[in-house]
Amino acid sequence: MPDSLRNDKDILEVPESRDFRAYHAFLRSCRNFMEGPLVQQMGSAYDESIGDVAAPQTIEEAQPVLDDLLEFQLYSWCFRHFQRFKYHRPDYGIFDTVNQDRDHIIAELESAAESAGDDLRLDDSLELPEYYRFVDFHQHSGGVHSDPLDGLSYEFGRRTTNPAHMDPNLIYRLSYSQFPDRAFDKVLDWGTGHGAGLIEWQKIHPESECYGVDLSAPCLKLAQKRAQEHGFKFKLSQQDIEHLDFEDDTFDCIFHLFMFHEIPPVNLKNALREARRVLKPGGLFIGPEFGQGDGSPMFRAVQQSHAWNNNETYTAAWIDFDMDKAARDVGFKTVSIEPFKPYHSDKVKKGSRVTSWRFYQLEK
Amino acid sequence: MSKPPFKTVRTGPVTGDEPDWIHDLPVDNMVGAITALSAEVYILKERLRAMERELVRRDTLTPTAVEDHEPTEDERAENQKDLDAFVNRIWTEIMRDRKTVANVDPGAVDYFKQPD
Repeated sequence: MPDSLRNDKDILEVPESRDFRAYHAFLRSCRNFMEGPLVQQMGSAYDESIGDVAAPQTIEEAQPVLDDLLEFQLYSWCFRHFQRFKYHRPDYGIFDTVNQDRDHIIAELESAAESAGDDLRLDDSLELPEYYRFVDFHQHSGGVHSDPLDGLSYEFGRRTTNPAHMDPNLIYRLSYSQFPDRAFDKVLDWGTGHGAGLIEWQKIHPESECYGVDLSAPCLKLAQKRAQEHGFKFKLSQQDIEHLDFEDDTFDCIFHLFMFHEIPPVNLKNALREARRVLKPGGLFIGPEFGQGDGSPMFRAVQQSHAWNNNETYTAAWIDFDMDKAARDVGFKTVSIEPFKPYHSDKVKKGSRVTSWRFYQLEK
Repeated sequence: MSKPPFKTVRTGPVTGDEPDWIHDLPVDNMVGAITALSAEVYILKERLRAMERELVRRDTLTPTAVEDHEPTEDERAENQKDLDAFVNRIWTEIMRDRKTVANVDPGAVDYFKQPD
């Protein structure tokens, strides 16, 4: 929920009990422990386990070492089941909480959708890609597209997903801080979800005409509602990023946040080709992603385990995706892949997950 | 179905029952965690007792107010509902089956192919 709007009576809010807030604060802290002390101890135990033997050089060599570590077993349990505790537990889980106000929330979302007119284009006939239907991403039952409240549950969930636990929108601002410092007339949020990325963008770039696409109708309805709450007018549409209905040379910039690892390699290359088509000459395709940075075999094996533990299934293939080649193959003029600067400083502990983040900037 | 190569490390998505992730946790550690939780409960109990005594000293409560407290019918019903929910949260975890909360279709791995 945007802090600046918290007291506005028109804001769609789910009542949060004191117990709910305490429960999720506890889970956040558990997650911090998992990412901090537990990972540190896992690294030490791994080094100790190797001893004087030649260190593993590949993920496959690191896996048996990890498998015998209690720390890795606990980490894997945490990675999988903290998510279950977050969403699925009785009373305090996100699904139970949003469902307590189900009828009211649906009515609010429908009302916002109806009043949006042409600003919200939903496509009931859109066939969701098979790869998308095959995976309940992040252990979100039924994916984020099958229930009218999925957008809201997803928005709730991100609070404990990104590293900026206290401000879930900080990650957008950190990403945008790496963009070239210039005006962008027309932008597209590629997988806009609940719309927070576009809202943060519009605050920084009031000059931009903002578009957003997503496969999920529940997410788009929420994004529309949030836009209205902020007094912003976005043009949101339910589309497959492999087959956009925009004209050639439409956008000055297309941006995203951690989308690549959710898309299979062949589909990703198709989507890059389509993104290039709708970009203006000189237009930019920008966003951060994790999983392709440097790292020890242990670190990369742990990174790969997220693909299986948290239903981020296509991460396993994304890790080997050759972005430079794919982007050039589909016609991007320049390809820049740099460290995600906000998280590459001396303050970030070696081995931290964020050191694998990269910032991808493609120019048409 | 062939035996997985590892205890915890996975080499593909969870497409069937929920696996066990923890295999080597010493019972000593579990006893330690339960003892630590018990200590936390006692700390809460001690603080609550201190608060009750302080309220008595300040004449906000009579000395037997808490012990003699009789909930109304509505409060009794509310207490029972709260207790049932509490028990449910604990026992649904203990009785949890091996069904995953979210699915991955086995066909997802067919999408791992890299583009030409």
